[in-house]
Amino acid sequence: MEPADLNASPSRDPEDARLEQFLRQPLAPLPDDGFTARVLATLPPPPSRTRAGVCLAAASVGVSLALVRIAAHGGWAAFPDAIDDRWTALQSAWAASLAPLPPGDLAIAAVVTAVSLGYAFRGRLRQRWTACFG
Amino acid sequence: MTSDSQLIARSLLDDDRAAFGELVQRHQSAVRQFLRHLTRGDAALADDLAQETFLQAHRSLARFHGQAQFSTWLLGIAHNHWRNHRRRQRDTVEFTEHTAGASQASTDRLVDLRTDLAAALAGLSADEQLAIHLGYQRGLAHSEIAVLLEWPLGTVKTHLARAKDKLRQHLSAWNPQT
Repeated sequence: MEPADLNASPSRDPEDARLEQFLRQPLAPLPDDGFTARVLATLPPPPSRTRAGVCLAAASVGVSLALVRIAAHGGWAAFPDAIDDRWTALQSAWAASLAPLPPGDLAIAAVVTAVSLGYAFRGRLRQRWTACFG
Repeated sequence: MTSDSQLIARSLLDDDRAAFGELVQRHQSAVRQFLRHLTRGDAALADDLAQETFLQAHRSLARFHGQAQFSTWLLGIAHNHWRNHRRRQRDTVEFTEHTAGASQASTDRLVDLRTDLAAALAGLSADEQLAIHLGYQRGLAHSEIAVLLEWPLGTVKTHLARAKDKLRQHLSAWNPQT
């Protein structure tokens, strides 16, 4: 039977040894001949540019919609009051959602969130660790 | 020398194309040779599949967590691409590369032996050749070959044992001094 590790002890039979010696001869490496350049040329464009473009487009659409809404509801003069109303409503909602939670539960929720985020991004964290500390 | 894992990290975090290029340069030979075995010596097809392999590797780099060696992971992707290709189109390419050397026998004894055994290798089944290539020329363990090719461990051992038996018979008939 073959050893699990093919690079283990050499065979004792001289014929076997000759065969193993032949088979273990490293293959001459293939010259690159522009292969790497061809691969790099076919890679998709860096995603950061695409992502930046999408973000910019989304922001432009958002700002345009906001301007249309402001114009339709009394213009800039009514804007501060509308913001105040929304802000007050948001604060009330936030306070209502936090009020029933005792501090102990909040701490548990924070720990669970931190652990979940760590687990979700464990691959990226490991890569960053490798990049920093080798 | 920068390790594979450091190059992978640079490629992932900063989208460093030069780092990925270095990875391609390091592993292109192994991947292309492996695919030449799978395609029975069709160098052009092997290079096309190798290119797809590296593109796929670039897309999936974040999913590589170092469970296996990077080179073994690449060979796994290459094998998948070849299987997909074979599904789409039956392989009808004649095996020519390995037998081509047989007609160029030199008077040098070592070259004679190599040529003769290269011809014997060409006579093995495709699976036996593949097992020999990965097991001996690439130095993969049985378990790694089994995972890479999705063969049961016993099948890997059987292919290797049969291939070696055939080559041994060939070698016993070979006597350079007569």
